[in-house]
Amino acid sequence: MTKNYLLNIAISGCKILKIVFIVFFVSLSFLFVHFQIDKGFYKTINIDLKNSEFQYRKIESWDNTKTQETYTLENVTTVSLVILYLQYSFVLFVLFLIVSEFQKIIQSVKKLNTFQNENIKSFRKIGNYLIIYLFISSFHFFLFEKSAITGISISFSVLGFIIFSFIMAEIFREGMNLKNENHLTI
Amino acid sequence: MPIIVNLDSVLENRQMKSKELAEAIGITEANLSILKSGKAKAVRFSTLEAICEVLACQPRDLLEYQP
Repeated sequence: MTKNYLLNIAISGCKILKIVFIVFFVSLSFLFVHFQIDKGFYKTINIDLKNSEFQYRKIESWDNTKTQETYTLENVTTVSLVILYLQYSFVLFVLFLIVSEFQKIIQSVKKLNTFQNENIKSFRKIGNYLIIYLFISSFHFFLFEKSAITGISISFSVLGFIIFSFIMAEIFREGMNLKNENHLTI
Repeated sequence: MPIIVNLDSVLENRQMKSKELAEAIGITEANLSILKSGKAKAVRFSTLEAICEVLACQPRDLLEYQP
């Protein structure tokens, strides 16, 4: 099993993904700082909520002149931008933790310690992290000078992954019970 | 578990130590200890056969059912 190339590729993939998340976070921080310096650079970027399986979107305006405000990143208020920055930073952090836990599981499988309590805990942690990810990433809030866009979009694929993680935890628990029983067969 | 392992008493009758039995039947002392303490979930027929052969006894001498 130590020469299992697929597991080695998976471990390398996890390491690369973790580096990618760190690079994304640094880039996000750079963009956040750059936005404060040169707002005009972002005037062409329109704010459009992505289409997902379930979506609720509401646009509120408190402008009496009825002139439509352009929903570009340039017009977003600083408060909204800070919330956006924190939201995506936390999403990246949660994704980093999920990949770390997955890497731990793969490494234990490589060391032939597949059915152990740590892996059950890791799968449950992944499930919990995915719940946090779903909660954070589903909420959208863009505050402009005279209007605001709020929305919720829930991805069913993430919900599927959450269920899958908890099922895998149960499967590994059963596996651990069988392993213990085998150990206690003299 | 209602299955009682009487290995200790059989060993005492034969004046044999656990270490000697473990070596004779080819299992570790730790595993023999698990068997004696009743923590074992199952016993292989091959292990039972080896114990019976070394101790010159029957399986009924080693195992007892107490509901």
